[in-house]
Amino acid sequence: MLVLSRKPNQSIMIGEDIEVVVLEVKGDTVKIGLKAPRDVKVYRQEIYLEIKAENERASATKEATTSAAKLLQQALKKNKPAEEPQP
Amino acid sequence: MKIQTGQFGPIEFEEAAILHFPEGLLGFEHMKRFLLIDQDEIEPLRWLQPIDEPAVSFTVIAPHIIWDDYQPKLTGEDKKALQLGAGNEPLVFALVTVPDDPSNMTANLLGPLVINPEQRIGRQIVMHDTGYTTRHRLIPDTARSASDVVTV
Repeated sequence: MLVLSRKPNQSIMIGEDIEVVVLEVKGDTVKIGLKAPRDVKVYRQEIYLEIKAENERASATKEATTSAAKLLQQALKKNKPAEEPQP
Repeated sequence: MKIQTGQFGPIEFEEAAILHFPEGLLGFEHMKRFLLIDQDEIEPLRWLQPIDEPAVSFTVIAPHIIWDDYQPKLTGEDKKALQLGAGNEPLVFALVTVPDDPSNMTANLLGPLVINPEQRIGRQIVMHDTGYTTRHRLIPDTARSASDVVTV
């Protein structure tokens, strides 16, 4: 890993069209600005990893989805009346 | 066109039925073409069948069925990638994860799939700073215990 020290308002260029600017350092939080072409996707790493992991969990079997659908159909039917307390 | 799927056996479809995800899904960048399959017995769920990896199938739901105020925030880049013009309403789906106990199924509202139905282009978008997560229960815990009480 390349390690560089930067001060607020200094930046790093990645290639010719991606710029990472350190905007502010406050306690343990660093505020970063990113200038990149619009087709470059920028994600917070933990969110990217979370969605990726959930996509991997999402692969489904016919049996599991069919039983899930049955439960969901029942829940949707029951949903409104179930909220009303019995007199 | 024809593929051999893991869940449904052979499926025949027309090229016009394909949904194109030029960037694939996060972590599944090689899955660029999908079929949306309706099946009466799994309503309101639907199948999302990757053509590029037919052994795998996904389950999706239109989130507004359960969360009627759910609205993905599309950036200008998202709209451009989806070729969405003004007045074009995208279709929105959330991937559903069904664990061993199907009553704990969840929908991923953090990374919804947004589709331009006219151009048949789709994209998985990331909802930064919205409070949505990858696991929203489709059947709330309370609904389940309420129905348990009813059956007793």
